Amino acid sequence: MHDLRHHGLVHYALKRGGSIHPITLPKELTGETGIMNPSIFIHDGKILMNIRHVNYTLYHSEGKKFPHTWGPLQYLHPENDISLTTHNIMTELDADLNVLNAGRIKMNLDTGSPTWNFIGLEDGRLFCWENRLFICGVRRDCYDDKGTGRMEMCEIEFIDGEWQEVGRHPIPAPGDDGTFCEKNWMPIIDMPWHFVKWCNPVEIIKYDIDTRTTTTIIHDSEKTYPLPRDLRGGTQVYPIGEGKRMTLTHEVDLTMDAFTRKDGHYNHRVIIWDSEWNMIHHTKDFHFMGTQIDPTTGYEYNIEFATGMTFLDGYILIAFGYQDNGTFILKMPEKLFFDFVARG
Amino acid sequence: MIQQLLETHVLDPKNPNKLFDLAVEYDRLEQGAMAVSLYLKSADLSSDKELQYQCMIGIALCYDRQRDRGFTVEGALFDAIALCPNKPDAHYYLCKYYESRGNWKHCLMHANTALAFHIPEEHDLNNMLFYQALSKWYITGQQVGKHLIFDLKFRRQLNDELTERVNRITSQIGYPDTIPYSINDLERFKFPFESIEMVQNNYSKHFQDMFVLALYDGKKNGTWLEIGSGDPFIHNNTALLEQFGWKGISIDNSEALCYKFREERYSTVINVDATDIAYNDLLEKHSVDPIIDYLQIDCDEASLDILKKIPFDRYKFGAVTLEHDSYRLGTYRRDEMRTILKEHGYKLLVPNVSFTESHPYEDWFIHPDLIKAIKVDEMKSDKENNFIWDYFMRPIEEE
Repeated sequence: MHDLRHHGLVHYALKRGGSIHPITLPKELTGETGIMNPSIFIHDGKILMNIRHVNYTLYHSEGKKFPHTWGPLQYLHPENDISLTTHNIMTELDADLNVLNAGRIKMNLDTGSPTWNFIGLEDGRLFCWENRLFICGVRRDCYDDKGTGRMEMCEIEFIDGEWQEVGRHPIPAPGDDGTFCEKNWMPIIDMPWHFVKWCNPVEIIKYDIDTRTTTTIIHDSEKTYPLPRDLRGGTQVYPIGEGKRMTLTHEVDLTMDAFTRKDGHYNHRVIIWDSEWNMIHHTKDFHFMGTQIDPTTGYEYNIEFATGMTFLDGYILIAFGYQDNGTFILKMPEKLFFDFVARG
Repeated sequence: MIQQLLETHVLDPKNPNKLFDLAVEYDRLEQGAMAVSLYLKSADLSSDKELQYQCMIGIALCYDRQRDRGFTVEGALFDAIALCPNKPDAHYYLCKYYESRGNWKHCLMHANTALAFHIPEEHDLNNMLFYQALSKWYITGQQVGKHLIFDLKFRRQLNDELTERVNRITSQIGYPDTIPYSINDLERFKFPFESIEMVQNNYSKHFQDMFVLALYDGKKNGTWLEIGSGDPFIHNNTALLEQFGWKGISIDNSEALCYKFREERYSTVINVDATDIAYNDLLEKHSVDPIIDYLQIDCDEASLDILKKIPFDRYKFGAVTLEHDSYRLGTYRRDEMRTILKEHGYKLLVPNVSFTESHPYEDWFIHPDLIKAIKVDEMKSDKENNFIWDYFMRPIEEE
């Protein structure tokens, strides 16, 4: 088996007919800070991708030779601004996955000042339900001053030459809505208003957009699979035939350096459910771009996050963020991808 | 380009050089965040200090473009210096960084640290000299800073950007009070004279001593009448002449400076108000020859009154440097002085000697009976104003 930990899935794909596509955006739009966690989706025949743009640039000394004064993994905001601000940049791509146009989604429904310092809709997955286009992510700037977060569907339309928010739909947590922070719910492309909230055990939530209430459709806490870490969302959830559905999840190892300063490491995994939401297959955990492995501790250090994928003309396109600073699209022939999934 | 570099990196992901190439391309495309990640990974994977150094510089510049991340910019440049303390780049960028914050002591520290090492590239050297000069000026507000900036402007070959910056700062702070000659200027000096290589440094404020020696081709055993001698060495026009074997009478109204003069010089000094002297009697008393090689009158507003008292009918001077300060007093005094000297047969060789391009303060005359015609032709200026540096020095481009 190819070494997916050291070299990564992109290396694997490139050697077998896949391709990697870097996304760059004008500095006038980004100020050269991080563009990450892209969510790609085909809509009305167009290849669209929502990219999270943040006001920080991640400093991550994976090998620990050149840590920042504050530690090996640091989110470097402007020094006079402690907020973590997210903007959503919508891009349209051509068939070769070059950016045709890019612009910040105009959030028309922002009201008042943020109540917490994580500002904006984060990690918005792009998808369409009943001919309505949404990005759905977590918002933490409007509930209280402690960072309480809820998933939120942001309905967008292309109006007057720009993408604009036309509807905002906060999603309460199921039950008594008593949790602190909900994030990384994965929209199920072929099941409007349904999300995979957790993967292991699987938890499916239905959202009523009119009453703004949620109902747990499936949750069997007994049905867990022996995996080393929590499976967190992830991309959209796609049907792949025979009632099966597939998604890409991520897992996180949080570690400390010698001075107890935090470091982190992300893995990804493809999982497949049957029509009854039994996890019938999963790959080994892997990286996209490879990682550095500490030879003494075995710890790995890498930050990657995939929040969108789509299928196009016999290919799968997986968009992922790298080190919170960059955005890439991995393009693989479907056969190559599913062969990898089957072997993994 | 980026596609190719990305694929090259992906297929050889642990190769720090390929990572660096990709980082540079992201940097060039103004994708600072991604460039930071790649530079950092390249540095982590490499054991080549030169490459790591370039990575840390790249990181600093990317963060600097993102603004308001000064602590990080500084830290990355410190990392670079820790890797290669003798390389100038990180010091230079730190100087720029501290300049932007008006932190001149840090700026000077890095400029001087870099200059303590050999800097092979002229451009790099000039950059560090610039920051040394600039920070020295802003720390002290004293002549030393002006001198350093003057040296950059007139003694070094600068690129357009640095030329523009130096011109801007000199237009703000002006030139130093003194524009000295040193042996390092010898190759550009227009009027070399015999034994000039003995002159390590001169003493005059603006080349007056070099003017006199050039006129006389390094003559030994000349004579002077120095009115307004001031300090025996600092800004003094006869100290260098004395070292060439000249002697004469110096006059100043400062008791302290005359005392110092007697202590430190060999020739005669008289402590008296130069406007109260009967010059005939004085020169007779000291048995001065009627031919005197050099007359200096440097007494501010009093120069005209003193000039009127000089017995030109009995004494003839080969060279005369005469202060008129027309830049601040207007041209009335100057014109009257010119008339007086012209009536006595003197020729204006260098009019409106200026300590900047626009501050005329002296006229320099010769008597054609006492100076060789070939020297007169060689040293006569046709310009109405004569900035002293331009008068004596060939432009650096001519080298």
